[in-house]
Amino acid sequence: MASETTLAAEGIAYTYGDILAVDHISFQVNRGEVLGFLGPNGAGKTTTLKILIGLLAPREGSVTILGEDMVKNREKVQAHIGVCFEEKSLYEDMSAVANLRFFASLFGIKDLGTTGLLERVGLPEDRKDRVANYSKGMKQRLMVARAMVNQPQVLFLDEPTDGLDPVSSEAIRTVVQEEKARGVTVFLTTHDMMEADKLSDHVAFINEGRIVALDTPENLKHQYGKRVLKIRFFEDGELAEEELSLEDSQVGRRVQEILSAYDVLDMHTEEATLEDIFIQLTGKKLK
Amino acid sequence: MKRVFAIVRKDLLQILRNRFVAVISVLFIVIFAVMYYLLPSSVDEVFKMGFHLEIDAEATAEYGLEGGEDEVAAMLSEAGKEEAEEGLELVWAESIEDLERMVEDGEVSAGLSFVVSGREPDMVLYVSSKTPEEVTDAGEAIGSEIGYALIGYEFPADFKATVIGPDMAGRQIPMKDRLRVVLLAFVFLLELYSLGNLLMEEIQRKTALALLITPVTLRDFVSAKAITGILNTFVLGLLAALLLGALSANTWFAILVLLFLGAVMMVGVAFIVGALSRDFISMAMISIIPLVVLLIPGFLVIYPGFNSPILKAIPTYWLLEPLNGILNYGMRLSDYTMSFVYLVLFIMGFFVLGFVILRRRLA
Repeated sequence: MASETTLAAEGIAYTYGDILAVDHISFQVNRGEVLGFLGPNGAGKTTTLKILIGLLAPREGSVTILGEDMVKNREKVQAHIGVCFEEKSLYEDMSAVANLRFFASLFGIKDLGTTGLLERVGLPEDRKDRVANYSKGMKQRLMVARAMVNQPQVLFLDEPTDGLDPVSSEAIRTVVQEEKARGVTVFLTTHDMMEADKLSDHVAFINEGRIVALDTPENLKHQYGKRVLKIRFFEDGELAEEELSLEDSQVGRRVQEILSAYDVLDMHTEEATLEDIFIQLTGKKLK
Repeated sequence: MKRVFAIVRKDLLQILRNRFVAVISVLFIVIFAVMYYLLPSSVDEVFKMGFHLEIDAEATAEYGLEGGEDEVAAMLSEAGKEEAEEGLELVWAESIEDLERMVEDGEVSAGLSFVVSGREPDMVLYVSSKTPEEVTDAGEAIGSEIGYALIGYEFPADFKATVIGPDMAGRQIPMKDRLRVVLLAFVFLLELYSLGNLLMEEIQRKTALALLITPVTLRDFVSAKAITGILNTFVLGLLAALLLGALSANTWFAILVLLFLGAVMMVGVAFIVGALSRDFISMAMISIIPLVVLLIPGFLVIYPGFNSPILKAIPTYWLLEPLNGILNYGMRLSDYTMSFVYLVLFIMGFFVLGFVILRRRLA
């Protein structure tokens, strides 16, 4: 995969009155990559997303998508992006097919083949039902399908699996992986650390409008996390637990001591999660 | 334009699918039509008549009016009370100009002036173009009676009837025909609910934002809503006009023009209502204010004496006044040039305000 930059933010800033919601942040995402954008409520995720998709013009800085300036060529850029909001913005008195065809017509697409698209998100049986009768998970899957009617080159997903059942969540994650494999760039905001870890090539932590860390999940864990070995064993009939740092040169000797002296129940390694790293960096939890 | 028409097509389908809107739109028009044909064609009206009196000292002596102007005024006031019981209310005017203005503004249905100066008494009845001929005849009779009562013999003055504005005397307009203007105004105002509801749902359900992250621009979005609203209101207005017998060989073009302008005005108001509303209940509450205010000028055709200069501050006055004149008094579009200027200004005002509020809501 060529490392061609398809999405770039350069020093973007946005204020609501006197409140600086986005504080001069910069990042870039290459073609076929997924950027996980993580932060607690009010950190500036949604404002950043709105700037990236052209709903807000940044007070400072610029957004370039597919080589075009979003502010100057908004209409042109929007023809090649797909957006799935967290909130369900569907025409509920229309069917899934009618929703998809209507949005396709706005991109100048006639006779959209909806069956394949709905199969990908697991809604082939319900395509002619009124959306008002759909469950939350079904609506979210339809939102993802709608974001793909124009075969976008950049896909923006805002909390796509938040509050969904495991089946719906997995269907959406599968779609993200398929799109990534197709070479689509994905900008993913999520609270789900496991999801971000699993899907993202890079993750950015945003807090109080600023990006406090941006790297691959592995590098972040390596840089900020600590790898430990946890051993549980019985000592004088009581269950005991010991945590040994894998960075410690004496860890091997101590493991041998425990194994020879005690009845070991279990032992396993643990590495820091993205959640741990976020807390370490900001002092806040993600949710 | 393809994007705009794609939204218009979707919106019209949504309006048709919305049971509430379908009910209030179509059912009300049918109810209006039924009301129209059930109403009696007879006329039973109460008129306000203006009076102006000027009597100088020489005339007082000549005709033996010893108490002068004050005595005559007192006599007329007494006579006015008796007439009020018979459906005629007397209103005093300070000057002839004031009397003319009262007639022109519709504060009174007709005005009678007695100017007795020297030996040349003058009695003039001022009527507006919409005053029925019966009022002119009655005014002449009343004037003669009053003159006789004052001096004891026939008042030595020629009776003159002066029409302020184009003379449309000779027509009595049945209430059912007058009501057509109000019923058509209702149809216009139904659009507040129809388009207001559509816009409110687009904003509340965030589908408007979903549209704006496609190649659809805010201008496309607003244009599509305007076209949808105008089409919907115009077609419903046309249907109502047909059912109410408002289209004739002489009036069809003028009525179509007014229906179109009315539809455009209501779309501007609906933009404001839809953008300000948070849900259906708040939309219903917010729309009550413009609904009531904008309907007020419609009642001037039912109660001509209700007319007042304040009505001219209500935008629909400039729509319903021509509609009334053309429908009921055989006026032409060209008689209402200034009305159209005001109407267009109000429409532009509503659109600009609606667009600004809508843009702020979507931002």
